[in-house]
Amino acid sequence: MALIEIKNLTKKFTQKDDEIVALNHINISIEKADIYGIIGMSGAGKSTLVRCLNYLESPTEGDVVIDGKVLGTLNEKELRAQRSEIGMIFQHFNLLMQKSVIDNVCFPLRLKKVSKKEAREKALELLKIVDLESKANAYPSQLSGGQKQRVAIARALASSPKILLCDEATSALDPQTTESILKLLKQINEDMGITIVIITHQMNVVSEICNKVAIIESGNLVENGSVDEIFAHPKSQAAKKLIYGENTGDKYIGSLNDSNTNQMEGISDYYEKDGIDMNIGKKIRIVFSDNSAFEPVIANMIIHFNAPVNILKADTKEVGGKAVGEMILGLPKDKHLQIDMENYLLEHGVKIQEV
Amino acid sequence: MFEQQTIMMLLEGVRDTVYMTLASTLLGYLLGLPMGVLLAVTDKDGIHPNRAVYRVFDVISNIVRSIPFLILLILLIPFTRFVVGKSYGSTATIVPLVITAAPYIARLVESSLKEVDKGVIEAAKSMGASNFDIIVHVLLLEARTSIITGATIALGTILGYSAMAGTVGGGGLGDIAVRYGYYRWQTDIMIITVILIIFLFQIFQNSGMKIAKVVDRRK
Repeated sequence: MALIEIKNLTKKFTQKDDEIVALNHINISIEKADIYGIIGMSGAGKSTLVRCLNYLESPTEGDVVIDGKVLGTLNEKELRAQRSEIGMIFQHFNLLMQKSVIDNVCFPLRLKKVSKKEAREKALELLKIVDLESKANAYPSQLSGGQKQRVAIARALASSPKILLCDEATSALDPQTTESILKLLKQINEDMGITIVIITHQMNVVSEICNKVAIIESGNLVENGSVDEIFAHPKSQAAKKLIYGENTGDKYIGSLNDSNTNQMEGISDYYEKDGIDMNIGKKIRIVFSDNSAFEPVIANMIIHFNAPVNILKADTKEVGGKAVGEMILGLPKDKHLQIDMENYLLEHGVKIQEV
Repeated sequence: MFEQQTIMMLLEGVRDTVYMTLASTLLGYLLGLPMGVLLAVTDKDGIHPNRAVYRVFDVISNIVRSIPFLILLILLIPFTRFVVGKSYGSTATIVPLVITAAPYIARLVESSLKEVDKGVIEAAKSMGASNFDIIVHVLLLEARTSIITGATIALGTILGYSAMAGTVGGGGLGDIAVRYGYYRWQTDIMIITVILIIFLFQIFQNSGMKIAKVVDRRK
């Protein structure tokens, strides 16, 4: 059975006379040791969703089941005990500014009435893991954003949770610091077997460390599954938007085409002399994975068919630690050639998709 | 310049004023701090909203604060007599001072606690903290600089009020200023008392702000 089961979860807020549906019948299962990404644009309801996992928000309908426990059936005291078994980190770190780093890490243990000495020992151990031992007696205001988030991670781990919830944990950090925090989260997942749920609006966060992902759009779960699968074959519009980039999608490719028109006319003139029709007939998105990234597949294909393709976009991303290439190609107008080229790509282990 | 007797009287005035001010502030916080916590906690965006409780304390606090101190002083004479046994002198003045200061302090405390970052409260909740834990370990701790700054302001205000109590025989420097300066036209003594009050005010203000700064770990 899954460690976290979100069953038919609905959350409504009433504002004045309006009823706003923040989450609409969401179903997600998260297995033990998953790093599960929940991604969506701001206002999609993902922060509400993560707060339902420890009942900081109680759902209007549906259940959250953690390790077989139905959170809705717990009383206040049991709920508090349950919360202390789920660590949580936040976008703005939320450290106690008046307490030193070590006292911040001790805080959840002191709440559980663990003795001061024992709490400090455990806290020092955790500060070693997040590489901040030397800052034990500093105050949060003396730390950088990345360091603050490391303290917050140590604090979240203090009560030895099985689950760590991350609410936009890297959104306030620069790319380099984000990288190091993600690495730390991955290490924690691997070394301690802690299940991590990551809420984010950044696709690179998901592609970098998550093994599974759910895409939320205006309160609805539009797509979920393994990151590899969704990255290679995004089905929903929202997924495509997130994977192709903020303002890409069809519009971007269209505009790329326009701006290239002049340049392309020159090229097509050149090819037309050789009797090849250079006009783009069909756009496809291809994803290279594993070793196909090391073979010159496109170049070989052009030689093979003796016909050019137009590269409209090319990018390399890291998905789950693997380098994955992504390209958008414009195939020639000739229908037969298009089919042959697609078959050629498929045979060479390249996933394709029409855009 | 002054006779020994006058100097003694002024020194006793300083002693009485300091006694009244400090005792009233202390007792005022004994009542006002829990009341302020209650206001902050039960307000609609507090950690345990309760409209009825909030309204009751909200109204009490507003009524008491809207009565001019001098009138409250007179209104409370029977009550003061009941508590202290007499209605004049510095100990008697503490009673109306505490009653007027408590709701004022409650408001100061309330606004200090409301400044605490909601995110930190949420983080504490996510760790399984109870409301009591949050009040003691998060709200009062994180707001302590602001609470001490508030206490400094309260101390200054109470010092001013204690001088006002002099008009009805409250004791302390205010009493001396009224008796000598107003009834006997001894302007020199009145000026000295005013200077002494200003001096005391400076000491309270500076030491309060200094403490607030020392305990603040945000910089």
